[in-house]
Amino acid sequence: MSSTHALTKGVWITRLTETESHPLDAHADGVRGLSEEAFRAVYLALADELVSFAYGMVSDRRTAEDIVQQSFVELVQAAPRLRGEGKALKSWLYRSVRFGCMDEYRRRSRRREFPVEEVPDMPESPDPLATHLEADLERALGALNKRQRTVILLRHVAGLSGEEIAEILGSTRRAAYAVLARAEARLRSLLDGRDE
Amino acid sequence: MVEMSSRFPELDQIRLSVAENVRDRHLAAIDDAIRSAKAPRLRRFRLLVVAAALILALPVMALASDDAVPGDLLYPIKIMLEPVVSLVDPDVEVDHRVREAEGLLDRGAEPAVIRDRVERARIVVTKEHPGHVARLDLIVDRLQRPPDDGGGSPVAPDISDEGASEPEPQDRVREHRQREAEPSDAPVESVDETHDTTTTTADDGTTRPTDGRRDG
Repeated sequence: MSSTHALTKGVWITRLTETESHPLDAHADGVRGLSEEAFRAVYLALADELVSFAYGMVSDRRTAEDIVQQSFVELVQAAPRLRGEGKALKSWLYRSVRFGCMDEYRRRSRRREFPVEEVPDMPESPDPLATHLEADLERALGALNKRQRTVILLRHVAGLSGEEIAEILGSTRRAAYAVLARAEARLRSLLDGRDE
Repeated sequence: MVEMSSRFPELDQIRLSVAENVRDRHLAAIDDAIRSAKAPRLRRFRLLVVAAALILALPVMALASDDAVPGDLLYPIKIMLEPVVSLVDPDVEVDHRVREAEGLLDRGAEPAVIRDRVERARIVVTKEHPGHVARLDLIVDRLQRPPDDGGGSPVAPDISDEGASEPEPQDRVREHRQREAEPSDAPVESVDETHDTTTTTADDGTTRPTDGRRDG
């Protein structure tokens, strides 16, 4: 809890505001100062969820890992100019990974690689070492538009809040929730085989 | 990672844990990037230190090289800094050239070298610098003395007579003007202080000793 004071029409008004701390707040200054320890801490805190998000976006584990690595390398370049605390740091990394995935889409469209039909069938049970998504899930996610796919993964894989999703998409929270609701409904119908 | 609702259990297969070897590879790449990013900062800092040292060293070098003559280690620095110093002192080039000739004379340099310096100095010395003209004339006078005159090197400083002091350049200029003002038909007497002999200069320009006797 913190308080701010303002003088309005000769009357001192004290506003009490809730300031929620973020787990990465402690490392924001270290990242700005290019501290190796701070970067290591941020990487260990976010690597799994960032790689999972990228994996859901590009359906290829190795590519997802490379995208996340590249995002951290780009963070090193951008860190001295980075503003905000832990929340801003996390949003920056997610946006960077998202842009990395978009670049991968563009590369694939130029190369005409990985058509959906050629994705190999995977066993039903989730394999922790799997390098590609199951065909049904890949088809369902592929049927969503990129924005819908992004919000589904941010919400149901990375576990981000509506506010965080809105910040990553650069939209309002209400718009983010609207996209999420439509995406969830469409994905459910696709996975249930009701929407081909 | 946050466990989300079971609305989409199919998405569980997407949740991954980064393998240890991949994590090590990523952390090594991040460390490399940090080192690379810090390197330009260090280079910039070093550049700043060098620039500051140069700026501070400039006046020191200018002072140290002020008396340098051709052949000295600091002479090129003196020449290099001359345009900069001339912004403050426009006569610095004139002063330097004359002092170089004097410096070479004091150090007993070859007369040819000194004459060359005097000629170079005359290029920059103008009528606006009467003091410098007189100083150059004095150098030439001393060069023209015979080797046995003055009891030493023709370029050695005249210290044989402690009582007699070398006239200041301004005094010599005044002396020249006084001579020009005197009637041309009167013989001009000058005293060679080094040998304490009096000479008489006739109208034709010849000089003869008078052995201390005056014609009156």
